[in-house]
Amino acid sequence: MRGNVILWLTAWLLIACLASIAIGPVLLPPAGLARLLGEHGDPAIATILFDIRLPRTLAAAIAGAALGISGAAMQGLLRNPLAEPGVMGVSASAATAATAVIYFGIAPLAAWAVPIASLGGALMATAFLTLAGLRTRGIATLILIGIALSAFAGALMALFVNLAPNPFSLSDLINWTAGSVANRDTDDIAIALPFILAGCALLLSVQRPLGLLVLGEESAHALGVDLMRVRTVVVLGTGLATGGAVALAGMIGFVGLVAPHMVRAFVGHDAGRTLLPAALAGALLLVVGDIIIRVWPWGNELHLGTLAALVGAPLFLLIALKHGTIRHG
Amino acid sequence: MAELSANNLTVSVGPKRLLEDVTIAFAPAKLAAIIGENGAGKSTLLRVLSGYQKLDTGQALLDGRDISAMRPVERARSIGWLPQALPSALPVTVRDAVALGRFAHGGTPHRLGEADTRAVDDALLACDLAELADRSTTSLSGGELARMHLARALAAATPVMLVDEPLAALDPRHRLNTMEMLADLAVRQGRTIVVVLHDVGLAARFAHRIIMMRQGKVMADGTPREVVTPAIIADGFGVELGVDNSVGWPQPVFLAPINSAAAESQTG
Repeated sequence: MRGNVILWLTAWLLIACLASIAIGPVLLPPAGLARLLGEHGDPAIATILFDIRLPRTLAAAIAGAALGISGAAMQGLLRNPLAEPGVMGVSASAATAATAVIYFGIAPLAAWAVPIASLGGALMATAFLTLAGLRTRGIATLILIGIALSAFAGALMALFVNLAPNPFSLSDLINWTAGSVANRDTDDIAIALPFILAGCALLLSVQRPLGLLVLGEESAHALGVDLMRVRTVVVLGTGLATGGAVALAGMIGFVGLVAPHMVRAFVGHDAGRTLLPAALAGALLLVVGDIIIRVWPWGNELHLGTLAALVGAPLFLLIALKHGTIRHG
Repeated sequence: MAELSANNLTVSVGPKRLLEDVTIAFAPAKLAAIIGENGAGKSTLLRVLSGYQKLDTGQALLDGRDISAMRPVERARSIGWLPQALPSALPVTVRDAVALGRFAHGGTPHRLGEADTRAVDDALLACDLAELADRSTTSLSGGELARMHLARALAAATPVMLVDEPLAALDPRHRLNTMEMLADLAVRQGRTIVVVLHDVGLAARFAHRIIMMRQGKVMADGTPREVVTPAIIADGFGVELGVDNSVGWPQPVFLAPINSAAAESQTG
């Protein structure tokens, strides 16, 4: 069953990627690509394909996969169906650290400065949430802590922007906070990808013990789970993957919430077994989302994070209500 | 055959002492019951013996090896612990929930070897859950859930079992079944079984040994006839006790709470 879900999601992701490459102001149908790129083809087509569409599609898929797997891992570790990097303030913390590096003029000094800052912000937030998770019992309390962290990160970002010695453009800031994969190039991907891959590999390395945390920490310990190792690996893995995703695409919320819930209906509730399908579902969501905003017929192009929030926030409410009904009904 | 022992255990949380200088050993092939009032330190002792609880001082040992220094999987193959705090329901079937007990042996609900499947089937049968195996745990009653968690601990097939209040949600038939099964596992399979109980009558009937705890210390330790006496029960629980020996074991009959002044004069 799970194998089939992974195959189906992979197939749909490939189809979505081909559609994403094809769809835009200039149509690039896959069947005609060879001819368009051939000896007598238009050099502009190659530019559109290799410099615009392909990096944009890849960035959406990679960031989506990182956010999907991070959400599934956070939900498993914190035993909280509403946990995800956006809602819990991990993305905001990453974006705040990245903003600081940009506006204080550190970014031009090294290509790695922004992703490293972004990772640092994400790691600190994830570690903080994990510590908070150890001390709180209620699902709602932890979500409130995440919301407070998110608000604090947002305020810090505003403060950095105020204090920054470098003048900044508002659109630059919006790109970070509203999230986007437009105008990404292969260098942006090359910088973020190793961190995201390392994060995904770390998370997949604890998929078996992660599934046992549903029993509670005491029972998981009793059955042989090394709690400290699992916590550390999930914090590091989520920090790396989310930090990399934010460095690549800015803050895109709710993907980490929706993707695991999408796949759970097919692969069950074992947090470990949802990791890989949630990564594929996250990638699929963002690639499709990025196609939608490109063909959006009204006004300027939407930001990807805006679309994600428009779809994700009502789903968050639905899940919260459903969970509340089960617990208190 | 595994010998479990603890030397000079002291555990504090903030200013509160949960265990104070406890030294105790548990022999194989015996069912030991720990009894005592709320907050006596019974669950804390099990948490220490499972390697979960950090100690201020002292050492918990399995066959002479420091339990807290054992690798988690190795420890889990030797010591099974069913804690008191358990999730109310899991979004999986009863069989899959029980199969989680095979983690330390390499089994998962989705990949069970022959030995894993046998252990899960035996545990389901022992806990009277065979007919519910394919039901979702979300549809179980409180007592059925408690039996499911016990079955998971059984499926781990450990030589040592630490079971914290397994009877709380069970009906009389399943209480008797569970105690019979635990005593049987100890005697027939040579397991070392320690169970925390509030039902002194069932402890007196089925356990080979009863340990009474109070305020983080072992107050009495011996056979049921040695421990279930009016003086010890009055001291441990603050309850006046009658004992009915006509049923073949010292069946306690709780008569009335004793006020603290009277209790002091009785024990002092």
